[in-house]
Parts: sequence; structure tokens; C-alpha cells
Amino acid sequence: MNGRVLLTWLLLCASSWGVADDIATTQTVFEDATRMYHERRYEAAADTFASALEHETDRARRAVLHANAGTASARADDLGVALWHLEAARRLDPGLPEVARNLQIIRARLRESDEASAPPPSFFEEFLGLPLRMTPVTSSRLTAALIAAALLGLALWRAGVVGKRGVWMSVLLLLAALTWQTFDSVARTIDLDRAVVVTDIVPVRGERQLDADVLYRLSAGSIVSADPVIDGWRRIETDADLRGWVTAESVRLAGE
Amino acid sequence: MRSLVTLLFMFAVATSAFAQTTSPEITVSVDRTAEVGQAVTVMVSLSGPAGADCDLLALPDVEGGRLDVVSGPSSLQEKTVVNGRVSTRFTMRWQLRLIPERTGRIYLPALQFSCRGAVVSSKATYIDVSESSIEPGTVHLSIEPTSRELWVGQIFDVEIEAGVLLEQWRNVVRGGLMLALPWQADEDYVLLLGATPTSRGASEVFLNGDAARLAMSNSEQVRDGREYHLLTRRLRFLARAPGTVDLRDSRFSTTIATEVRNVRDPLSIFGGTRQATRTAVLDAYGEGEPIVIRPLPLDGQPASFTNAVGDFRFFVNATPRSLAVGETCRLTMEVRGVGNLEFIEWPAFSELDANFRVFDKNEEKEDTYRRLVWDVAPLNDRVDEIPSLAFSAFNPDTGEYVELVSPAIELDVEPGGGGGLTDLEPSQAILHDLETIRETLPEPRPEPWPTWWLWAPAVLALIGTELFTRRAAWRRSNPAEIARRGARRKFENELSEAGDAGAAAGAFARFLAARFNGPPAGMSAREAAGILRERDAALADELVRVVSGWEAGYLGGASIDTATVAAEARALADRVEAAS
Repeated sequence: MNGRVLLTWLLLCASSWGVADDIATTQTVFEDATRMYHERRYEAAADTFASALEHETDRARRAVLHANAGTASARADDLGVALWHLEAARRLDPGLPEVARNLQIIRARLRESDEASAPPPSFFEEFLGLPLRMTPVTSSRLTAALIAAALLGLALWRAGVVGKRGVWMSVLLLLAALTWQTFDSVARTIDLDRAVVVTDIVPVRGERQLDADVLYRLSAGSIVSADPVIDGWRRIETDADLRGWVTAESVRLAGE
Repeated sequence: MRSLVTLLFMFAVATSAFAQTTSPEITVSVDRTAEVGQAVTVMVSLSGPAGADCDLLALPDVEGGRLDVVSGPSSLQEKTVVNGRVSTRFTMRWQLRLIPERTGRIYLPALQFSCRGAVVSSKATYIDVSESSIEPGTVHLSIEPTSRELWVGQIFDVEIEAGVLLEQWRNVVRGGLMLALPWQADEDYVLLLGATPTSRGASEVFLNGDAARLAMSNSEQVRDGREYHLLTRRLRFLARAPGTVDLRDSRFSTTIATEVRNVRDPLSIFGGTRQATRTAVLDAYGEGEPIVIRPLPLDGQPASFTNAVGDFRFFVNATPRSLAVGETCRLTMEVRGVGNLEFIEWPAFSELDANFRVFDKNEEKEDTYRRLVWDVAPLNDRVDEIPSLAFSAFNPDTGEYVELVSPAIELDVEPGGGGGLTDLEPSQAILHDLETIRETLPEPRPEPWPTWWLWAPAVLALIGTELFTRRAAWRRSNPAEIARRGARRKFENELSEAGDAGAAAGAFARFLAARFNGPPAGMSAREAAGILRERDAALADELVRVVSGWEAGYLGGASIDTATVAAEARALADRVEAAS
């Protein structure tokens, strides 16, 4: 019995040592990348910020690393990669103000040059993207809070504190929680299926062959829906309902 | 009515008679004999009442001669009184000059005039022309371009040399020198840009009629073994459009006096002046191959080419080279060399569009250079250089395009500060407006609480409420059971507090009363046994037997252990509860 306790304690120490080591590595890489950024070596800074993501698991820290990598990529005129990083930062922490601001600037710039891009999002599309303005945890907490309120309402009704109105209110709250959770799941699934074109002027072909006809071209930063990789190709669809095949490395999925 | 018709008839006759008298009388007087080159004066006059309202229409072409207007129209009004009747006569006169250019009979076609809307014509006439008595080659003309094969846009010079034999130079009448360069006058193919300076005491020559005068330098030189008084000037032209310029159309005309007379002038220290009474016009024509102007080749034409043709050099300079976003740097682009500098159109220099905003453009233009000065501001702090700028020109000597590329100029651009403009890029293009990076990483945070922590208390609350509610409802619907349960608790309390067997028996009696709805003071064992007998007769008998034993002992004065009574009472109570 004593041997088991000792072994467990040793394993805990080792794992905590590894976590501390990862934190120190991330901090060092982060400082290197920040220095490169101030030296205006934006491309190197972007790569270094991105490399720090390999060691980082904390959600808030990953959001900052993505945001910095995106900003550095944008300053290096690598707008496709910048958009991808900033979108990733937004998913991790929608509350970062610089991410929203930089995304707005980059989207505005990309919208000018992308012939296949869709017009600015409509009110309906903005509404559909409402859950994405929260982290998944916040969204789940909202759902849980609605459920808790509904249950408390039922309890009060059972205790005779409120009448049948309390029951109806609880039912409405439960429905709202269910709707929000469904809405959130669908929005996040769609969002994670989207991909960003990361290389500039990507030819979109009619077939999965390099000599197939080029249907149209996408500039870096275009947002598309992408299917899984098949033989090094992805089938994509733009917001303007244009379909075609692109090489897998020319787009990067949101969830990658 | 008859009188009215008579009046109208008389008016018509009078009008007709007046109309006949308004037709002017045209007189053309000219000497019928002349020599080649001799200026023949043609006097034309129109007389009559309508003579004042006539205009000479276009001069006719004369085959074998040149006809031009020397003076006119001049008008003369005469009034004549005959037998008290005053008549007015108008005369208009033109002095024309006909210069025969060949021998033989030369016809002067009818001259046409417009008089009060009607066209009237003179009669045609002629003159007989004989050989000129003036020695051939008296005048000389040489038109020599620097090149006879040109490109559009090329600048070229033409050396003009006009001469008069030295012995005839003194006979040249005042204003008698005229240079006709029709290929220059229409400006279709070439454009006169200027001329080289002349020496002091230059002679003036009418150029293309009497509209303009050209000063030409004087010199005396030998040409073809003869001594000439030469007039020279170098003119500079721009080749404007592809085509052919025929220099043989060029003509140098000199009017010399062939007969003179002395006119006394008391005020002159020379006693008088010489006046030409007869003149002759001597012509000399240009010679040589025409000038051919070719279009610029399209093959190999650089994108930065506009219209520069010549041999140029291109310089670019920028100052200051360290600045912040929002500040401007003066960019100077200069072209020097030989060619159509004056007409150069600058390229757009679109290489600057991506990273600079141009605030001000100024240009300096001199004979030897063209300079373009732009105030440019970098759009963001990522700009690190002024890119290579290209200026292309066509070299007419080699027949090829030359692209002149300036080297890139390094810039040190700092981010725009509060004192500088920071919003240079259009809103869709500003990347320097990006929010900067975060300098520090947030501290790692523990995993957030699971979300069920929020609703789990609510679930517990609901369950608790439900249980409480259900228990309360059950208690309300089962008061007897509640009473029985209360009786047992009370029985246990009394047993634990009982000081003797009597108290314990009393507690058991009250328990039985509570279980079987007896009086609060207690129920006897027999009464309880009566109730129980139907369910458990053995228990009823046991109940009576045990309680009777307690009574017997208590009433008989025997010593009864209280604990034993309590134990027996609990055992009976358990069995009673089970049975009831």
C-alpha cells in the first residue's frame, strides 16, 4: 500500500514538472517572437508565435498566441494565414478586442481583391454567428444557467411559492436552453467546417487534377467550406456557391 | 384698279433699269510681254454705282506663273454733275502681281467678284513670256536636314542656306526676300521648335508669305565657283507623325530691281535714292531626297515607355530617408540628355502606388533637363525602400528602346506618432492600423468548473422540494399513522424516563391507547387484547398475561425490575405494531 502511494506521488511530481517545463518553453518562445516582431521581422515572428502553440494547452494563452501570430502574419502581408490565426483566436476567446479589430481590417482589405468572395455578412448571417461570439464554455454556462433557472422555477412551483405561471416560465426556459444548445452546436459545427485559403491566387479546378480546367481563382484569406482531403485535394464551396477542387495545402481548416 | 396696275408696271420697269445699271464695269490692265521671273503688275478695277460693294473671290491658279495680291482693294468715289443731275460712280482697285515661271503664252483666267450677292467675272487675258535676261543661278537654296530618316518624336535640325549672287545682292529690293517652306507651315508632320541664334546684322526674310519673318545670318561665300551673299539659319524641328516631308517644295524667292531710277531727295546727304521701276522675282528650289518619318516600333516597347525619344539619363533621389508614417519624403526624378525633353510625358510610376501616397507633384522644365518632384509619404512602417523606378526612351541612333532603371533607395520608416498623420491608407487597405501584439502571456488558468455545477444545486433543490412536498402531503393524508408513529416515540421517551415499573406500565398503557385510538390516559391490556384478538389471538393472550403479571407484582408488593418491564413492554410494542 505504501509503495502505491509513493509511486503515485512520484508520477504527480513528474507530470507537474513536465507542465512547468512546457510553461517555461512557451514563455521563452513567446519572448523571442515578441522581440522579432519589434525588429519588424514579422514573418519570423509569426512562425515563432505559431510554434509556441505546440507547447501550450491553456485556452487563454493559446488565444493570445494565435492573435499575435495573426497580427504578425498580417504585417508580413500573409493575409490568408493571418486570417486563419485570428479566426482561431476568436474561437478561443471572442473577448479579445484586438482580434475583432484586426479581423475587421483584414476582411475589409480582402473583400476588395477577392473576386469570388461573398458580400459582407447579412443580418441573418450575423445572427447565426451569435454563439461564436462566446467561448464554448460560456455558451454551455448560459445553457446551464437557463436549465438551473427552469429547475428552480419548478421547485418553487412545487413548494407552492409560485403558481402555474412558474411552470410555464420554467418550460420556456428549458426550451430556450435546448434551442440555444442546438443553435450553438450547429453554428460551431459549421464554423469548424470552414477553411481559409492561405496561399495567394489559388486556382480552383473542375477536377482533382493539376491539368483540369481552372474554374476561378481565390485570393488568400477567402473563406470557404471544405470537405475532407481526398488524394491531396479538397472540394470547396465559396459563400457565393462556387464549387471546385483545390490542393489540400492551399487551404487550412478552422479546426486544424 | 387700272391706275394701280400701271403704277406697278412702272415700278418694275424702273427696278429693272436700275438693276442693269448696277452691274459694274470690270477692267483688267496688264503688260502683254514679260520675262520669266519678271514681276508683272495686273491692275484690276471695278467701276459703277455698285462698285463699292464688290469683293474679290479666290485668286485663280495660273498655269506657268504665280499670282498674288500686292494691294487692294482701294476705293475711289467720283461725283459728276451733268445738266444739274448728280451721278455717283464708285471704283474699286486691286493690284495683283503675276510672276511668270516659264516662257510662252501664259493665260490669266477670269477673275471673279461678288457684287451685292451676284457673281461677276472679268475677261481672261494673257501675256507672252520670253527668257529671262537675268543670269541663271542668281539665287541659291540649300535645305539640309541632319538626317533624312527619322523616328516619330525625334528632334532634328535643318540647315537652311539661301543665297543671291554677290553682284545682284545690291539690287535686291527692300522686303524682297521670301522663304517658302510649305512642309513646315502645315505642321502635319513636323513642328518648328526654334532656331539657332543669328549673328549681328541679320537679314530678315519673309517666311511662308508675309505672316512671319525669319532672321538669317549674312555671309559671303563661294558656291559652285561663284560668289554669293548667303543667308543661313539652322532650324530645329520635332517629327510629329509618320510620313514623308518633301524638301523640294521649299522655295527661296528674291525680288531684284531690273530697272531703277534716281529720285532726288533734298534732305538726303546722298542727294537722292534709287527706286525700282521694274523688278523680277528669282526663285530657287530645294533639292534632295525627302525626309522619311517612321513610326516607333511596337516590338520591344517597355511598359514604362511613354514618348521619350533621344539619348537620356535618368536619376532618382529621395530626402529625407528617415521618416515616420505621415511624414513626407521629397522624391526627385530627373531626366537629362538630348532628345524631345520638352515633350516628354512622365510615366505613372505605379511602382509607388502600393506603399506610398503622393501628396504634391511639381515639375521643373529646362532646356537640358526635366525634373519631377513628388512629395510622397509611406503608407505604413513596413515600407523600407523606394522601389526601383523605370523610365524608358527610344534611342533614334540605335533604333532600340532603352529602359533606364533607378536603384531602390532604402528608407527607415518609423510608425506614425501622435504628431504625424497615421491614417494614410484607405480604410480598406490599412494594415498599419492593425492592433499590435500582446507583450505578455496571461497566467495559466485552472480548468473552469464543469457547467453541471450550475444546474446540479437546482436539481437538488427540486428533488428536495419534491420530497418535502410529498412528505407533507402524506402526513396530511395519514394523520392516524402519524399519531401512531408519535405514540411510539412518546412511549420510548416515557420508558427511558420511567423511574419504576408502574411508570413503565403506564407508558405502555398510553402507547396502546395511541395505537388503538383509546383515551389519552391509557388503555387497559384487556381492551387492547379485545381489539387484537381478531388479528393475532396469541398476541392478545400474551398481552393480557404479561400486563396481568405486572399488575399482580405491582399490586402484590413484589419487587419488579423496571428494566425487565421496559424490555417486555418494548417487545410487546413491537409485536403490537407489527400486528396493527
